[in-house]
Amino acid sequence: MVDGQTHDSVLDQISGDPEMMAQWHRYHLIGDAMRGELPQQIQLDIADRVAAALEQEPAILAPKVAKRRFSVPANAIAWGQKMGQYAIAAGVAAIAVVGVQQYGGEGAQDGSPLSVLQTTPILGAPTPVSYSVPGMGAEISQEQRLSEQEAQEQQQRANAFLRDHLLQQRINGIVLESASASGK
Amino acid sequence: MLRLFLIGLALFGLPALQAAEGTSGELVSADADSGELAALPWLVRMEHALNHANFQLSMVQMQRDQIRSLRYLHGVMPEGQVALLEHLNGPVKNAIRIHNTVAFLEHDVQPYSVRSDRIPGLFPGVFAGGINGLEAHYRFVEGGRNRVAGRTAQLVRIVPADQYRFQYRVWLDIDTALPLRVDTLDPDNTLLEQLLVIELHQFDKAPPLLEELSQRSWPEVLEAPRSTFELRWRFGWLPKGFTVTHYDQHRLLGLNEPVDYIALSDGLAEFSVYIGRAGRVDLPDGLTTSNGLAMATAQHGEVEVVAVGKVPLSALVNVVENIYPAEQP
Repeated sequence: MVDGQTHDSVLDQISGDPEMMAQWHRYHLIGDAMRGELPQQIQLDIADRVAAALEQEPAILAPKVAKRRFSVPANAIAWGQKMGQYAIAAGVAAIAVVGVQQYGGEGAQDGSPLSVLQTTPILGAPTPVSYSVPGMGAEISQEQRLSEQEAQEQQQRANAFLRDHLLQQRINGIVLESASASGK
Repeated sequence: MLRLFLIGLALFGLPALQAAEGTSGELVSADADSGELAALPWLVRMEHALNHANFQLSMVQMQRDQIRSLRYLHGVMPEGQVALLEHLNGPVKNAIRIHNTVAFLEHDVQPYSVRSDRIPGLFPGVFAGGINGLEAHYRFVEGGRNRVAGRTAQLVRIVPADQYRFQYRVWLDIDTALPLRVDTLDPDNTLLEQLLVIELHQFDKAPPLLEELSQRSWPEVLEAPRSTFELRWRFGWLPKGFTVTHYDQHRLLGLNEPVDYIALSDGLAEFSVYIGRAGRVDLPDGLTTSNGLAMATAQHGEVEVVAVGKVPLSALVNVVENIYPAEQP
């Protein structure tokens, strides 16, 4: 029996009920999965494989619209190996840059978020196969058109963010005693 | 059960049944006052039932391009709640919740556990705790009645106060207050996702299967990295009610790029914000998937801000375009 800890009453219940029998069987499947030797500590680097098992979210990609609202120089923020380090002086400098360029960028008319939706999707464009629609594609200038490799890389990056989001939601769990408890 | 249904039919009649399917805004506003007063107690009952009832739900989860069949088993034991969620089709994919720990058993992945009071991916977590906290950003509107899973169900709409989150429609079993159907709709009332219960079984006590599961030992809980530093970004705009629930720094899954990660939630909807160095290839400014998951990107100089979540794209676009380095104290 299972780990020798089964009670007779449970067994009786199970054997008397086909539904329970089915559940018992399923439970054994789970038990088998569990009997594999588990390490004491599960490493976070299983994340890759976990994510592979997460739902593949079907992505409908919309192309980019070149847009620069304001600039934060990358060197203002300490990236790299020492994550968690924060360059305070550089941070102050970044704010100054933001303040100036943000107002400078306001004139950009094509920056509306909705314009994204009006452009031709990279994937799944409802274009007839043997027939080219006049005007379609003509508005996209040559440099805007992504090479196949770039499109692939773009899709890969987009998927990475989507999958990471799903994984984070799972790792961080659902904690019911109000969101603020896990905040700080 | 049939008798109950007939009583329900007699009391509320045909108009109520029509209202259950109605999507018109007029109907909502006409009896909004009485509807809102009556709706909250339904949700409070649901909250209680999800935590205190012993039951099994068999259901299908429908998205625009896929259907999953699921079974959810929940039991209350002296030590706490135990639940099992099984995917019935395809490779094995189970989640087992013992009190505040959820273990995932999935095909081809080493089992692992996380700290969670709820099995994610089924009902929104708030359905089972903190529903009162949603009142600031959502209206609860009582709709009509309809039959779901062979039982009489009461419709309650969870209507967002603005266009920056999705609407939820929940059909609750009038006997048990357990959710029998949950629809997620975008601001244009397009159905994004539907969770539809096929069969509900109630038990007097926790099913033996759950009792057995609760006695097993499960993998160690995997802790998300906790931040020990101050959040170094400031949001210039957030949809009302969204607050930071978690932040850390980690390497992006698959790409290994370092990112600042911020999770935000209004209690029901949630999204993630990633801030990192811009990649070699620009990401699309906006992207939506067929089940409502959206992603927005903005580049600020060499810094790339990406937001992902099941909220309308416009909300994410506003967020990524209005984020600034935090001011020093």
